[in-house]
Amino acid sequence: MNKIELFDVKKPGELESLNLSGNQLTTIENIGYLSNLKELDVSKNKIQSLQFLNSKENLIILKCNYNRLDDWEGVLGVLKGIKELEELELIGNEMTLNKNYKSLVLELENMKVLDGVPVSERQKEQLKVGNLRC
Amino acid sequence: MKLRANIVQQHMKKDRNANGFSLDLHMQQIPSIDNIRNFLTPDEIVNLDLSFNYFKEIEPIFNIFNNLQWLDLSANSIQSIENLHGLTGLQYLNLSTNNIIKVIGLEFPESLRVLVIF
Repeated sequence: MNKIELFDVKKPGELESLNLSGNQLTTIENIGYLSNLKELDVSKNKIQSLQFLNSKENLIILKCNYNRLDDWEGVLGVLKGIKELEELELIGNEMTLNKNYKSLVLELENMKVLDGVPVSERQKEQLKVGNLRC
Repeated sequence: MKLRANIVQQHMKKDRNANGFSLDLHMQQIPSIDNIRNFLTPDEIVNLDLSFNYFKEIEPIFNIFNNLQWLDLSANSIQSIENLHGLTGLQYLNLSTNNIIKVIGLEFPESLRVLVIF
């Protein structure tokens, strides 16, 4: 079993898909160097913040299940910056206990699959209407 | 370890998509490339599966596979990513279920597209 604590990209690379699930990571250093990265799986690590993804506008798939994300405002801020994001998994993080979790995340522009479940445009519209009523 | 030449030959398959061969030697109790070196024509191999063996490190000799595109070294006892600089066409690398504690980007080839280390 790997127990990676440090992952430092260190130089530009062409990686498109990176799976580091089931390690001991709290962050990924210099991930900005991976300008072609489309898919990232960091599930089952020790991640408390998504700040390290701040510059990753073109990420399409992000899996971050079973980590330690609890600050949903911070997480949402970062996710809003990932303009291309279509698939997101955040199962098993404390922030998903927030009652507005789903509607807030579905506000993200290009979201197509949340926690493994496809989201329809209709659902998005319904959630928007629901939010207005609140 | 009783790995014979015919075992290597039996596990070589013409790869349909790439111009070369796939060599599948998973679960063969191999501790080192030295054990199979004499049975190999490394230039021809584009896909190499060495998962579930006894490798303790990525040895410098891995660079003889200079046309390798796909390498699976999962389920061995490897501690660090090294000696991959010569694999200038490597696109897929799987190092899951080893003993890796840190990864620094200088260690993998620039051609790499998919890296899996769970």
